[in-house]
Amino acid sequence: MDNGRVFLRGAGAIFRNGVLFRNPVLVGALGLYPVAAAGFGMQNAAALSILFVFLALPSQLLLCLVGMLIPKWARPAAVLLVTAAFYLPAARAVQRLLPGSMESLGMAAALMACNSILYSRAEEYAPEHIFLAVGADALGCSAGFAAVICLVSALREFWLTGGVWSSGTPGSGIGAGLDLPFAGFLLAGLLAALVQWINIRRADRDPREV
Amino acid sequence: MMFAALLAVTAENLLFSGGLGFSRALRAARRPASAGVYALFVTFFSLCSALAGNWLAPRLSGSPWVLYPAALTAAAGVFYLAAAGLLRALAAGFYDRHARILAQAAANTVVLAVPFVQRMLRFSLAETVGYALGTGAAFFLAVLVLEEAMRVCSNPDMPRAFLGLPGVLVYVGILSMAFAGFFGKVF
Repeated sequence: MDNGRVFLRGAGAIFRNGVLFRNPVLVGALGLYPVAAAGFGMQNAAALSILFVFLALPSQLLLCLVGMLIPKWARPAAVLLVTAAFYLPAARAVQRLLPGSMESLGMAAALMACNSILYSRAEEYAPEHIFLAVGADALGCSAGFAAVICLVSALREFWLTGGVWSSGTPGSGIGAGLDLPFAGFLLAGLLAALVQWINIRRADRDPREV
Repeated sequence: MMFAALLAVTAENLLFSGGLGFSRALRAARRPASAGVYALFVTFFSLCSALAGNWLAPRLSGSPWVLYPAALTAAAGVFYLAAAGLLRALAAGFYDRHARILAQAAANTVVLAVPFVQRMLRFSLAETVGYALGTGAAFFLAVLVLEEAMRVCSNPDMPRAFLGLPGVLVYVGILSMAFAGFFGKVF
């Protein structure tokens, strides 16, 4: 019973790290492309977040189970083959939930199969950790990625169209270029600074927490 | 071919104006000594990816479009396996030194983006080769720029919240804004 609680507490900490304290995008500098290039509308953000979780969870769990059976040098190929295989049902699920979103995302959706968060977690983390930890990590990283892309998208969409989840047309005056990647990088930089400030505060308060 | 290579470094620069491959370029910038080899691997895999895209596109033309990116990702895995297998057999010392970056170059988004750009801009084979070479050069330049950005952003006089990665992201955002000027859009 106590062991079960320790396990669940550990899984909770892994999940929280993925969401905030060690957010893969804002602390790990991974998966920046979809945030910078496609994170300018909430519909894009929702589609990419769903695609991410449908790719991350099964591929990481599968590599947790079989990763150690594959020689280390061949694991990168295994990760790419596994994510390629899971890409088809994941893309179909996104199509069903948000019709037309995959086509409108184009290259941004296509390149999610080799997203650096998915790759690094599936190649480095999943094979060497227990099932529960890998599940918590996959869900935490998915939530962390979704939080960043949704926040960046909401801010950019609000600036561009004056609303969120709107089908309004972007203006053409000053600030109209906010759908370009530079705005994504700038906002990601500001959010990364916020997370770093939170982590510094935590470390100052109790160094054991970090 | 030269024009396509120039395009890859300037207006169609996938890294700065497209925002692709930054996570990998940032990691490479932490080990600048291996940046040249990394860029060579990126060039090689970009070329493989472009050729795979050329071969796959007509064969998958009637299939659902999600099959194309999945097939390209699987092809990247096969290319990595072939390259790693060959290097392990023929140049084990070189492979041991660069195994990590070989894998990261094969799974780089900038590499997998090349076939999409190639289709979008309707490149010929020679132009595709030029674009792949240009992408390798652009990656190398990005690593050099990011190495400098990381040095600048480790200045202890900066606010602590912006030290390191947050500062680098803002730096890259400003640089990317300069590349966005190539689009001719008002912002």
